[in-house]
Amino acid sequence: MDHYKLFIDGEFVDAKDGKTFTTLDPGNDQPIATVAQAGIADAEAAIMAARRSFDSGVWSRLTPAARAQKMYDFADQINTQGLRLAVTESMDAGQTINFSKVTPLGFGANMFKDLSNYASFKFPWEEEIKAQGNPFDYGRDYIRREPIGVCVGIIPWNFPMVMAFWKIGQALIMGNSVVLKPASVTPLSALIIAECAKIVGIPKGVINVIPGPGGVLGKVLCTHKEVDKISFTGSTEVGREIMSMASGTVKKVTLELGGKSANIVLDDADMEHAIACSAFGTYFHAGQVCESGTRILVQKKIYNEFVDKFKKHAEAIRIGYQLLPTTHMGPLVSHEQVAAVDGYVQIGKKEGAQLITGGKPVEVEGIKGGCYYAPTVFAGVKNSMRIAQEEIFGPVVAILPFDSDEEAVAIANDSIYGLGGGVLSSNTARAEKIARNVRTGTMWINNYHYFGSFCPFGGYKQSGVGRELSHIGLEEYTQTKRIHVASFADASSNYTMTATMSDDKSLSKYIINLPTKINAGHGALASVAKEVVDLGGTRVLLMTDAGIVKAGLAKLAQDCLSDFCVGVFDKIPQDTDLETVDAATEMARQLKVDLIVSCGGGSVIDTAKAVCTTLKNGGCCNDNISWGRLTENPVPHIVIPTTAGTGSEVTWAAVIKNKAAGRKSYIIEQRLAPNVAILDPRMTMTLPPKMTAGTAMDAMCHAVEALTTITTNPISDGAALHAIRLIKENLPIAVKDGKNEAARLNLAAAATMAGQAFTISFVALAHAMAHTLGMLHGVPHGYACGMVLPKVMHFNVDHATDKLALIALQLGVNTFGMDKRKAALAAADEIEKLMKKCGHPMRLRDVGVPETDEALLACSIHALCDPVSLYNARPVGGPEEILALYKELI
Amino acid sequence: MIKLANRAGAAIKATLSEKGLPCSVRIEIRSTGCCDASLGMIADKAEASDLIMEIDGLTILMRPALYALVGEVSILCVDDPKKNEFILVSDKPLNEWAGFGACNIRL
Repeated sequence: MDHYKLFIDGEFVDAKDGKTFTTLDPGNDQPIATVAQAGIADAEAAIMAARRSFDSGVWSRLTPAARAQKMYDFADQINTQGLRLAVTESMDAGQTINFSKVTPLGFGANMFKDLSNYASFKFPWEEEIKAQGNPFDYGRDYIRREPIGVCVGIIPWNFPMVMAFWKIGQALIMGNSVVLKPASVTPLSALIIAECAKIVGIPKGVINVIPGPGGVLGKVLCTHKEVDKISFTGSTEVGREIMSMASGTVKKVTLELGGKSANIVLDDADMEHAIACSAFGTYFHAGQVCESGTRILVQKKIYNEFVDKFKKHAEAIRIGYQLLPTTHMGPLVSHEQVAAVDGYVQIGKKEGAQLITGGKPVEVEGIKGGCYYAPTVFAGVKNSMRIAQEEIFGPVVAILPFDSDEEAVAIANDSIYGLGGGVLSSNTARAEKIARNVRTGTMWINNYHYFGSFCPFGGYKQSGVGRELSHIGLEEYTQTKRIHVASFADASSNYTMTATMSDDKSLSKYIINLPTKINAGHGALASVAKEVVDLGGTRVLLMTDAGIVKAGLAKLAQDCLSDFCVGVFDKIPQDTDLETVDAATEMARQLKVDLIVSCGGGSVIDTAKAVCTTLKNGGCCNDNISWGRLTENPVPHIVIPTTAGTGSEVTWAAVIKNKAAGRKSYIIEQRLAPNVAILDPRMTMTLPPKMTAGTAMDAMCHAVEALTTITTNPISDGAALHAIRLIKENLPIAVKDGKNEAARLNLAAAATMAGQAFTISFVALAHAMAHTLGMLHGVPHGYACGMVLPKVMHFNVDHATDKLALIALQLGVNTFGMDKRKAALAAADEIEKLMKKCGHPMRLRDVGVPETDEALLACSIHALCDPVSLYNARPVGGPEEILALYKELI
Repeated sequence: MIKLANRAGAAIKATLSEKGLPCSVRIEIRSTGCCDASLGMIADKAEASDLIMEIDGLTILMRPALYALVGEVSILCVDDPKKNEFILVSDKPLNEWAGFGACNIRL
């Protein structure tokens, strides 16, 4: 009789205490080999050998491609030993030779090669995170997947060779070292696989195989601190205990446990196929398969016919010795298993189920002994019966009737398990609908027991945790590491660090990304068609609003676009919203638009930006409200501003009203900046004086806030200061004479520069307060900005003194002899003077905002929650501070 | 036929009483999923062929075939009193995991 030894640290060794056990052939009860029986000391030696090999990097630090080459050799050696493996497996585990002879190639060598190749060429070992989803800071982030370390595989007796391939193969392919504990009654194939590994030179310690009693070894393997992962296949009761034990040292655990799967036969199924497939689903390997379809649910219309035919089919199954090629069904694994199966048959009879056939151990002619059990069928089974709820793990099937597809799904799901299942039907769509609704890890349609290297396997509910095989199974054998490289090696590159741990809230870093091409000057509008061509556009949607249409400006733009323009969307309100964006996006989709031209003020431009990103990324506008998420450019966008204030023609931001939430939402993405801005002063000449003042104060607010946020910097300061000067000098002229083209162009330039400035440096409290007035009381954005700006400048005077004093100079204030603080306050006063001079509203009542405490407190709380307030020079302490500012506008 | 360790007998009786059931349990083989079955307990009445053991007012039943298969069964109470679970081990272990996991009484 052969003697098999433990495989530890690359050598075949006897157990330290010299213990051995005998393994039996369940087909005839004859001993087939003696095997060294591992004890605690052997388990510890195996774990430490695996640890050493892993830490040495001899396998774990090979490239996946280098490991794959070795795994290919391993696979070839398995094929070489294929017949020996097949016969040994059949004798040890009772599998029919017709199955075991295909196992080494089909489930071993092939899987090793498939998954090694995948790990070499396709598995995402390293993955760049293109968009971090952090709205405040910048850096490179990437994911590294690394081997976990020492993986323990504990496998059952039903498919010992397949399970050994799965546990060893996946662990090694992903760079781990493994300790495998095969079931004590079926240890041989795993030891032959270890022999294959040794022959091909898998480094010592990378694979260790220790047959021995689960109750003893399990505790060591699951609690040892040098074990990093446990992958267990077996009973739910043992799996639960393993999970509990592993929690002591917080190991990663994957469990593949029991099942009581439903195989659903619909009334439109091909009857002959349904019978054969259901019988295979139940009786393959004598039902000792965890995902077997041991509950056959049959639609009532065909129930009686099905039961009759199934009975005949079951009775025709040839039971025999497993090495005979004529055998359909071999023995169970042990006499204990026969007793367990028979116990359930007795329970079924006692519960009132109708035993149709089988239900007893059988003898095979010419063989003395053996663990054979007749294919057994119960009909009239209720799903609440134990034989329908508990996994019998033998050739016993319960056939249950159902009326509707919904009832079939409900019965299928009425189980603590969720491992496998099937649907038999001639209507694939109907079957798929059912398959999607059953809570289980695998559903086969018109098939059963079909596995593949790239098909994940595992369970819902108490059938387990995690998956085997496929890229999902491989990922289970890795750890995920994120590596972040700050773009600025400086404390201020981390907003949270600065905001929470530093008294100086200013952020010295800045990023300039102003990709918008600017065509400015008299007649610049004519350049739009050329820009469309350069951007590859062929079908343009012109977006505008009713006022622009009425003023004739939209027609000018449309004429310049000529045949490129395939549609005009002009239903954009003063403050755009999600619904408007969605309506425009729908129109753009229907027209198959590939470029957007927006002609209008801030609301039109922001709507167009949101449409561009929604068209590119799909869904509706609310799906695309993002802050640092985009990894691809939106649909190209050309802007023709008709006001001089918003700056949106060059910014990364779009502000969209969310009416349901009662807030304005932001899309802030570098990729949102329009491709081209066309500043043609003729397009702003029709703007009435008051609106000219209001929109210019929007630009003024952008410039002043860009100078005074915590992210201010010299480059944006330059643009902002000059914008302030241009507004101060040109606004009164444009208000007085709207047709003054030079003043209009200068204001347009100022608005664009202010837009560039705040794109780099952000805006702050004045904008938070203005957004609130717009959202809650419909105040036009420019008016709201202008009104609150001087008050916020006063509020910030001690936190942005130098910058505010510089603003005073740009505004032409004679600061000679003033200290900086006085100069800073004078800047705010000068802006108020400018507003008054230009007819800008000054009080809340002027724009219809109720001046009650209640209304203003609501505004204060709303403004405090606006994220831009985080960037204010002076930290905003609470709503009472904002309330005081609003009250200054009464 | 049966050995009751520590507070197992009292715990079994308490579990049965809580549900208003007679103080009678059967030792059975129960499947707990993929592969290995284990010994368990179920509230049950005696049948004619049963082996019966009475311990401090608790009746424990076993079928002769099962007794022949596993021999004497020891019942231990799990240390954690909140769990109300038991570990059953037999002279002739049912399989290599015998006694590794705990079971509750099927009521």
